[in-house]
Amino acid sequence: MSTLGTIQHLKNKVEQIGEKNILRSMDEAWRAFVYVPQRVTTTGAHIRDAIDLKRTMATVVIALLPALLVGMWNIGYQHYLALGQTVDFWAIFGFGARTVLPIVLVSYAVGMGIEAVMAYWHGREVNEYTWVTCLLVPLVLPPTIPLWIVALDISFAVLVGKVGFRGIGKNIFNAVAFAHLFIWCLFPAHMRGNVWIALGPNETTIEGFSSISAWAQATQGGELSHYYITDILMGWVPGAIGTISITATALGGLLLLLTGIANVRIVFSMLLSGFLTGCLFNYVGGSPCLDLPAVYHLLLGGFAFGALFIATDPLTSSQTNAGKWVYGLLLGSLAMLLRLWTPISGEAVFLAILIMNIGARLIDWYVVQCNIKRRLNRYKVKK
Amino acid sequence: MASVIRLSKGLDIVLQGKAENVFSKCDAPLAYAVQSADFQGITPQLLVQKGAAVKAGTALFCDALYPPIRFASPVSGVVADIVSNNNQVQIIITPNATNEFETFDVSPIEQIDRPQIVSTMLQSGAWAFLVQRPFGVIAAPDAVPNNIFISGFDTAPLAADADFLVNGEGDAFQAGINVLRKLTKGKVYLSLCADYPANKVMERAKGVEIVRFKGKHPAGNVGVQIHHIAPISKGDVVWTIAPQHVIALGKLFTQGVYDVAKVVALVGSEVKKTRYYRMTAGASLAVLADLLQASATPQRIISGNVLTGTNAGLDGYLGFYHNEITVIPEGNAAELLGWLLPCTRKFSHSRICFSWWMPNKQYRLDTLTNGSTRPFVADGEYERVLPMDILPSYLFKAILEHHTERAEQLGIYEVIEEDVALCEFVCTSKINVQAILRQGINELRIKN
Repeated sequence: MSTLGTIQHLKNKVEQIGEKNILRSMDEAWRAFVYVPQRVTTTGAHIRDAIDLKRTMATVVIALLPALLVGMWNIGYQHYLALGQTVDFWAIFGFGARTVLPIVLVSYAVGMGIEAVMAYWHGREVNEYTWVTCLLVPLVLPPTIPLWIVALDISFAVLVGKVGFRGIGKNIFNAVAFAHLFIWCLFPAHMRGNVWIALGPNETTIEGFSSISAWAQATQGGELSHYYITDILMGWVPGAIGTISITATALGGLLLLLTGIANVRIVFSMLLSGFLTGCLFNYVGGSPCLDLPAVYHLLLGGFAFGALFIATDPLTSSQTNAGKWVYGLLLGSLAMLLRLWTPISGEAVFLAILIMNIGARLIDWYVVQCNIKRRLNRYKVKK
Repeated sequence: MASVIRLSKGLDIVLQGKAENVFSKCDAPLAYAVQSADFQGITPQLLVQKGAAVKAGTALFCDALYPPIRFASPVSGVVADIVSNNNQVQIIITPNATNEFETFDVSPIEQIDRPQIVSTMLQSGAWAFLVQRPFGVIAAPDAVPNNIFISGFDTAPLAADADFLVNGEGDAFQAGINVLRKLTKGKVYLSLCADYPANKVMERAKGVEIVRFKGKHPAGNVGVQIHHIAPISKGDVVWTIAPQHVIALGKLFTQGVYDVAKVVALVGSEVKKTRYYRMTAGASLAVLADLLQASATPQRIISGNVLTGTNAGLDGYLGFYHNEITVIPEGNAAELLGWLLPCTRKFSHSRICFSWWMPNKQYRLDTLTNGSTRPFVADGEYERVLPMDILPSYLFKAILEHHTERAEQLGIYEVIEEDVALCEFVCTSKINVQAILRQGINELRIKN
């Protein structure tokens, strides 16, 4: 029997099981995942654009892959650097993959599992937003994170961040930032300090090697001079799994900007206002954090990653064109202010995004009111 | 030099099967139908019975809520059948060999006044030519519109060339304009495309204010043009009429006949020879069977264009307001990993597909939705294709929440389905926003 014949045979078997069976639902979910459905237009426009949410979210996942792959390599690189060993590329990448893949797999297994159960519960299809959430959640975590915390993180993101708001499309907070801060508050020991270099059992770093993140080193008065700027651009410094490489982030971000998935208004205005705010504080100066050149603020600590992949979430950011500019400008400044003036500095981008998620609704309200007012003025002029 | 209004937003969907500017002949239809569903906002009440003999211009049914508004037979013949379904009627007429017309009084247009014009149009069925904005419903005879708008070009995918449709009908067109001028207290606006000179029938029309538009679809939609010329507010009423109906109106007042014969483009990737045909509104589409390409896959025969037309099928009829019949393939295959593979043969407004690299490529699009329905993802895609100062996603959400007052504030008076058809086309979430808008309009009409 051919492969297609076997698939058809199995499909028929599942259909025979009955209407209200979880196996049947799983079969439907699987088919909804692998196929663009054979669904034709019945009302309105007879033809439709090739774009759909699956293709959009698949593109975001593809855009995140460079960050994931470079992140894997960097975890291995930092590991062997900390041990003072020199090994070949595949050994480095192999260690990174062994460290990172379980984290990613746990995130997908738990996140997609919860989403599948919820979809079955509500009698709907699995929403593709979860594909991206399940990848973003591990990318912003340190490599030493225990797997059970990853499971808790993604569970919180899907259950509270999305389902808690009556589903995707109704959530007001970005689920990734929401869950990340929750975990950061709950388990600070696993999220701060010497958690950025993955070490095996019974392994210790060479003397004098710091396991804190490059961002923390810079802002706590440590010297960044032992890192070349190329190291920082490529992401060969200690930090979170996927946010550390500016090159990989920019590569993925470029894909999102070119395809129009990430809104250029938000990204540009956030980076610009972040940079200008940083410059302003450079001028004020007075502490290592304030004296750190503004450009390093954009390169370290996940600022660029947050701007490209998290702040641009279309569901929780501002939804009007004018509002997106304001949202980006305020977000960039707020993120910079929080990281310079509060103890949360490392996670400031996430906190700023959550705060601005609320602000986005207010910004949009003003933009909509302006639109209404213009129409009303027209009416008054006529009268 | 007439003013030019440039619209930067919009989207041209380039499909295979545009009509050549050539006339061709098809067999005479064996049946005609007048369908109440073609006319928005009416409740049909029958005026004839099965078996009745009718002429072109004989009233078949009227609006139960406003009985003077009548809808007439397009040809002479016998009422073969009356089909009622969901408060709609379809009256099928078997034509006779010689087309006979009801005759209506003909007086020089300069000498007749507004009430006489309204009376003749109501009697003859020609009142249905006039569509009112807001709401896109049949105009109310007792209202006096601020202005009357005519769109002299159509930018919809594979739309019939309006210049070709009016060619050689200069006198009737001018007579129609003269009649329209007496119906409004304002102006009669004629919108033309700024990219090329229009047919001299429209270029030389007198008594109209010509406004030129430059831009992608929906620049040719009369609703978009109204928005940029004299936008509608609450309480305003304007009327719109299609160029071919202006000609029919002119004939009514110069020849005394209700003649809804028109030029129709047969277009689409599944048509053997995409050309223009002279047909009468309501003609059976069965005569087109021989003109379609032989295909193993089913075809969708649409009366109208691919964005707003009706899925008529070969057993359907030409819509009252439609100037083209579009035939495209039905989608009949689920695509394995279709959401991941490069979409070289598909069209997208976004840059996810490669269609933006090939702006002149002609696409053979089918009827697949290309995805499943999802919640609203507002990322500005609606705004990119709607060249109006309206926030469409907020308007649709207000309608879904049955918040009519907010829908009014957000501009529901200014749009009808055809204006938001591109929003529906580009929607990532595959939401049928045209139906949502009509639901909102109906709720607002009930409330008013």
